[in-house]
Amino acid sequence: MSSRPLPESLLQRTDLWVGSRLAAVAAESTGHAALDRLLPGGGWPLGALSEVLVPRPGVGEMQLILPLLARLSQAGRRVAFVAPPLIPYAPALLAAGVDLDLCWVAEPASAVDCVWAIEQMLRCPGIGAVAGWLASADERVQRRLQLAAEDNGSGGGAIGLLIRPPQARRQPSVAALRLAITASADGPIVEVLKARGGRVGQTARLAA
Amino acid sequence: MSTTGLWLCIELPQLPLEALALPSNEAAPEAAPLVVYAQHGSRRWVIAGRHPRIGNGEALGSVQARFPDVRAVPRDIAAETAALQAVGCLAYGLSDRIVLSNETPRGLFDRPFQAVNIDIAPSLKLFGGLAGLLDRARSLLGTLPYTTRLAVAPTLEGAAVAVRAGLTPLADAGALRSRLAELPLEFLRWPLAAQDLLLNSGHVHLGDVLRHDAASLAARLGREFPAALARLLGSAPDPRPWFTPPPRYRRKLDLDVEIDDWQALLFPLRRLFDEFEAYLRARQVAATQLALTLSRRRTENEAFVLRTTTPTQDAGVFLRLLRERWNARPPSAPASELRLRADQFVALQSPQTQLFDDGHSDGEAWNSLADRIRARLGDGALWRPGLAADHRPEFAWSRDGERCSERPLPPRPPWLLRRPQPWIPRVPLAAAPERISSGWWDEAPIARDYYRAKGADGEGLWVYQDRRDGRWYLQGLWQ
Repeated sequence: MSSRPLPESLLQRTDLWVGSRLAAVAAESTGHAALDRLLPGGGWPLGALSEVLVPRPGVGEMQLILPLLARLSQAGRRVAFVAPPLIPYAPALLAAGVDLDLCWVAEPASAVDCVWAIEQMLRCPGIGAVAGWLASADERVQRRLQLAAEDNGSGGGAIGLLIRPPQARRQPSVAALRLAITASADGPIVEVLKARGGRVGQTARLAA
Repeated sequence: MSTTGLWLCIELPQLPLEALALPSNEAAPEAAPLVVYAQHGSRRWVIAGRHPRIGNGEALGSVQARFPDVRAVPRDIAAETAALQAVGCLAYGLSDRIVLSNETPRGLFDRPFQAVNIDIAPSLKLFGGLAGLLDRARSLLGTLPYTTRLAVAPTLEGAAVAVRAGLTPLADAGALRSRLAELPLEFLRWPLAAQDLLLNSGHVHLGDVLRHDAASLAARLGREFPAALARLLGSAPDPRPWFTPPPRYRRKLDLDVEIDDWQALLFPLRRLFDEFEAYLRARQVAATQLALTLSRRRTENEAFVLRTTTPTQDAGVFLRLLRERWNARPPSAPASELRLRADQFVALQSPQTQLFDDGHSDGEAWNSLADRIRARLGDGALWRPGLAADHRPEFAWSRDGERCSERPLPPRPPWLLRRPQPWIPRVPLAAAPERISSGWWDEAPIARDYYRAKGADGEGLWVYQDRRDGRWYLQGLWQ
């Protein structure tokens, strides 16, 4: 079932968004080709917040974000883990291509400090991406972090990754992109829950 | 022989009062008189105070008789010396040839004389002449909480006399001699015995003394006397040890009352931090660490160590770090004494301003953020994952360790559990294990076979069997 193609003259208009296409969003490839194809701009949106919902550590979130952290750090930008639930293991980070000189871990003692640290890092020029583990983040907090990612001085904006529990799915989100990961025997399955300028409900499987 | 120096004398006439952090320093001096007294034996006399009807040198007993509500505080010589040194550091902004005068009272009912003397002759050109230099001096001193009086004369002692007499700047030795000759002897602060001898023999002004020749003065007043006179008038050199800031920084401030609210503590602290900055600038060094200790009744101490990644001369950086830290974790008890300590300094590197320098300034921004994060979250709460040369997985990484490895590492999971957890194998594990036996030389030897396993949902697990007792443990997650 296919509709009649639109006339070329309409397709070339920049103020017309065609629902079957992905909007042109400034983004940084996730490093997973199957996933990039589903995302507006072909990756993590720049200068914006993305949420990744995970039921527990180790279901695939590291596999999902490490290619991004590796590429950004190799481009000379800092990347950070804030409040990771387990130890980001340096030998594996190095093997994944992360420049350990530019990779930081912050371990705040409270949720307030955690939000503060993520926000401050997102605002810092030269930061590439901040992955923060936050159990709860109300709309106000999310907007603060979203603004911080947009504000980032170093051109293009920073990528804010909030790793959150699946319960967050019921909350409204200001994030530009929302993914959910589930583990499977053949590799983690990533579902697009929300994508500003893209389509939702599709899934991609990361290589096992 | 005449010297070509030019000295600026900055007297601190109220230093005994102002060196004490008394809150009622400024407000309404008439309401409750506040005086600082010196003591010798059982005699006590006023040496500083702002009440218009209490004079310096007045016996404390008579003051207490007239003003029963007077608050009399003994002088704190250590605090005065520290404050004088702080002004000396600030004076490095004018010249590096500085002499501190910290003269005790010559006898009963006399005042101390405390001043910073600066040889400004080498700096005149830099500041565009005397007027420019004095402007600069006044603006520097304006940042201090101290009353100051200034005078300029060709000799150090001459400037000290001029400041006590309130003379306008004396440009050369001739002006010095003629203006000083008109002054009563009391302004000279000669030893009291000599002063009394001269006064009792009819000498009123310095001019009366200058009429005598050196030999007769030496015969009556001692051999030292003509030499001192020659130094005063600039006909003999007056070598003095220059003041240099101490190699380590120590500063203590006693508060009049215990302060509970940390916001209120920031006021006296700002003053101390400004002094620290003047110290750094005087030595032309930068600091990366400043320790602040709050004490209460000299017993309970609480220490705060402020660290910066980039050495800095800007005390504001340390103040911001302190504010960040206290915002998150305020001091636990009220403080009545503040102490600052800094031991390690680095030579100042002049900031390199480059046209295309984005990466560098990003690094600066990150360093200052890292300092703030450590100040707020604690020193150990921000680190870089690094490697360590050890075969045992739990020791193969370290905080802020090595950042690159010479030997290729076998595949490792990105998540490591803080400690291995007991694990029960459900299905037989395929593939050959990676055998790790190591650590026989220390307390934690291991003998393990590592496998990749699958969890209930198919997630990758990194497990091992302890070959010594056959038990299974989960140590890492692959995804």
